[in-house]
Amino acid sequence: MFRYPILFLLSLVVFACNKPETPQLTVKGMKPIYVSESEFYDIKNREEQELQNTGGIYIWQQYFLIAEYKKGIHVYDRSNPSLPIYITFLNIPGCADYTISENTLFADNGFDVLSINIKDIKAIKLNKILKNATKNSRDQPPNYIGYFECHDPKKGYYIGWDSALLVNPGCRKLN
Amino acid sequence: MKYFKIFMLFLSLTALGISCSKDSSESLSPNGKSGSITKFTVVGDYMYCLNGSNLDVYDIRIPEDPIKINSIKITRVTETIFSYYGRLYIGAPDGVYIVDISTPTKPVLKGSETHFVGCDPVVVKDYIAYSTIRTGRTCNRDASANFLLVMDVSNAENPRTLKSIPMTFPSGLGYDKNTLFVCDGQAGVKVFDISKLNSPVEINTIEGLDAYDLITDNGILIVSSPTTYSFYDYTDLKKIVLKYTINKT
Repeated sequence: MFRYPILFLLSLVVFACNKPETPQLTVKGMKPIYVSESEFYDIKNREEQELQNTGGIYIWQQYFLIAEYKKGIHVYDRSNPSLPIYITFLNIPGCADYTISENTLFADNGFDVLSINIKDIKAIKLNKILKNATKNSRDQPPNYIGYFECHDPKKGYYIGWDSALLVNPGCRKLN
Repeated sequence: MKYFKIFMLFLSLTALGISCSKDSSESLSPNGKSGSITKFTVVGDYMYCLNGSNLDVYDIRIPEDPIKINSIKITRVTETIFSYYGRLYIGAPDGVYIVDISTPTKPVLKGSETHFVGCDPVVVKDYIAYSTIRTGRTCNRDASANFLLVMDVSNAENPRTLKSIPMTFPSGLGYDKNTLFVCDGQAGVKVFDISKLNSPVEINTIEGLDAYDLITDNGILIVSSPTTYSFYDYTDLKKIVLKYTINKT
């Protein structure tokens, strides 16, 4: 009786070894840009940054906020709609979306959700990191169709995408 | 049915209440206001976040220490969220989903309108929802046309599309009192009178920009485009005036 399970296990090993080799596919695509943990959680005010790959807009108090994809949030003073003034940049390296409740900004940062005190918008403070709170989200290059290297949390914290030549990319965006 | 009538009565009463209190200019909530294209929203002591296929609930009674307390499946992919009187309206590539949050910690998916597919932000006034659908690669490939949809959402379990108004390439939208502003890509911002909620009447167009999303605030409209952020004064709806444009570098 005991020999049968052993034979079964042996056959599994044989099958595993016989798996055919996958052919190499080299294509142009996108790969994640990784940063260190300290860079990823470097939540602070910065001087004016360029508006580049911008996203969600928001008004709060006299301010107008614009998300900068995987970088942070631009803050303008909109008291005079004829002349909005750039106030500060909120450095949130993995941010894509955010909202505000009174004096607290909630933002995603990669797969995390952050609570940030913005009572003084020029002197923000990180309250809490909720690790992996949004890990259900699809993690794909935005506005892009084609092959990309899947994001691998083991390689570090990713803050965006770069074009690259990929070998056997594991991910592909179809629409 | 009884509950439905009570709910409608409640809606009419709140609508009356709103129209009475809105004579003086409305002040911005302490939480501020988002454009219509967003995945995060705060309702009272709770934050609701779209997370792939799911809606997540966070307890933010202690804002320094938010706690994730619940998560429910909505559909394959979710894109935008809008809250209005005890409900969340979730825009997805395959339609609009209505979630009841009368018990804020326990959202319940009530119904959906999935006859039209495409891209999606939603805003709601009283019992009418306005949502846009558009063609294009980043949206649903099956979307064959560009429309502003007018939906009756009085029954959360059975929302119905009443009208589909042809558009060019619509996306973000928002309203202030009886005026609905709809971003329509290269065609600019379409301005509708919604005094009769289920019959928007186009009254003006802001031209000269590739409109993507917007926020209204007490006479000032901020419109985003791929290259600009423009501030308009709409105190006179017949003569909307550009005040300033922030240009992207």
